[in-house]
Amino acid sequence: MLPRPKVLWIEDSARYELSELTGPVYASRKYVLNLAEDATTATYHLQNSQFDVLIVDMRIPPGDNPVWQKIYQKGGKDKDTAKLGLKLLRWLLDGKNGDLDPLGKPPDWINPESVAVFTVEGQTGLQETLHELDVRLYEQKRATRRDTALLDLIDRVIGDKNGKQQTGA
Amino acid sequence: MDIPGAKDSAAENAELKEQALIQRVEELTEDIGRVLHANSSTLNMVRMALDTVMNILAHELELPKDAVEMRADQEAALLDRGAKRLSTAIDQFLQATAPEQRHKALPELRWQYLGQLKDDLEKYPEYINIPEARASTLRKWAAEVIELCAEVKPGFLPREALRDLQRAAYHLQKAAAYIPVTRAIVAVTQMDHSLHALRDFVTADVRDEEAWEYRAVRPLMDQAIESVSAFAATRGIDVVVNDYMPGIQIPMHARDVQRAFTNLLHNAIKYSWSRSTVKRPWVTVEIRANEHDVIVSFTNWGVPIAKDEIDQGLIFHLGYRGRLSKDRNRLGTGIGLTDVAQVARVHSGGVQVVSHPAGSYSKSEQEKGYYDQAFLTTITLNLSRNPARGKG
Repeated sequence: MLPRPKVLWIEDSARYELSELTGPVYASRKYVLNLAEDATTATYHLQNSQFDVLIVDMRIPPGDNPVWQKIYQKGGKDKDTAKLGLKLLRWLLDGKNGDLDPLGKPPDWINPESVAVFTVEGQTGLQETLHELDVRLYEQKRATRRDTALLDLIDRVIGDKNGKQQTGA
Repeated sequence: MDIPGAKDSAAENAELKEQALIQRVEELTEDIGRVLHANSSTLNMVRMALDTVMNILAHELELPKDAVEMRADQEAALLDRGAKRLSTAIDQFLQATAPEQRHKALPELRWQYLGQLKDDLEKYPEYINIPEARASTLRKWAAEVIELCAEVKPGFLPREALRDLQRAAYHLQKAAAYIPVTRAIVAVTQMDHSLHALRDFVTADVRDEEAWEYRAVRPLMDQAIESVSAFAATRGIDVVVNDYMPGIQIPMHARDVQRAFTNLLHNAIKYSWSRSTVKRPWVTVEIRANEHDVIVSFTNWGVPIAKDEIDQGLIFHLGYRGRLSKDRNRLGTGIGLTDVAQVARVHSGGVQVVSHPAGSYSKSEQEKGYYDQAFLTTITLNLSRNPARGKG
């Protein structure tokens, strides 16, 4: 049996407000789900393991790492305005964020096809940056979403990656 | 070169813009009051519907109703019982069915699924590594078993074993539904206070200014306790009042002071941890006075407030929520303490916050796990007894 694809979900509300979304992922037995509830934990996971899928929220807290704390402070000490998820994506996919240089080099296995954004932000405000980073999959968190929203998003990342591999793109 | 009249025109434009903005803010302030009122009614409807569902489930699951909120160990025990019962029922179902009859009743893949599910149920805490995801996962699995039972072709399998399997699956489904229902009730009850506090805060400027009047402190405190009683009951937390100045009166804006009491009390309840399986947690309110002030303090045992957030006064900033304040789904708007500080200012008083480790486990902020331990947090509100404001 092939190993199940590994997923890292970067989301600080995963244990409570969004815990209903995790059930379908586990119940499907298709993926190994890992959770990072702040930017520090996300960076640790990304620097120490390889993941097939990365689902990223935009509004995440900094965690203990002083580098992230400094960026958080600069961003207004508020996770809604600091948007550390976006900065994490810039570090991973763009490498142009000078403030994050102390974190070291981003892992080389990551690519835009492995990433989906799952956030309360409307797409309009993010479109330009996501386009720049070549991140194509985006889903808005809304109360009307089904409990399979996370599973569906992971399926789409895997489906798109497999489709790309098959067409040799 | 300056164009004659350009400066005047720019100033006029700026003034017009400012007036338009002021008018818009005034409109929004009134509108938001209406919107929040409507949201509050919706929350009330949701709460009542959830209460109904919770009571039915609690009755069917034979659960005690001492508090709505469950501790993590209570949630785990409820799920363990349900998962074990379903796993045993699957085992008995597999044993009670003759192999030659099985495939007439269900396709082979469905039997394999049941076998796999039995194994998964036995070691589910290992497989579902996020504890909060267990309820929703087990509920999905239980629903799949219920579907599977409905697919069984009649006449090939023992009815009793099938019925037991169905019952065990329904039981697990209910147990796993009960947990998010209780969490949602706690969240909705918290949100209800937040909406009221937000509405009061936002509309403060459009209400008629309250007159200064001499009022007794204790009845306002009792009203504040009454207004958070549903939330306290939901969380299973008692409020203990030590009134060392019974009957004391001060000049005040009563509505604002009561709102400040309610905010502080709500916070103390919200940020309390459950102590043990036998003892209900509590918050302590103390009413004291000195020559100048009435001093009202609220103490709770549980979530810490980080030292830098107190030292830098961040917790008093509008919209700021302490970085440790979100554990176990504690909701908030970051308005409560800002509003309390404002009320204190108007009453020539102040607010002091002290938060320190409750035990002796870790005393230095540099130590790992310092903020993982329970803290005793006391917020003290001083209100001036200034007799110049009214008759004393």
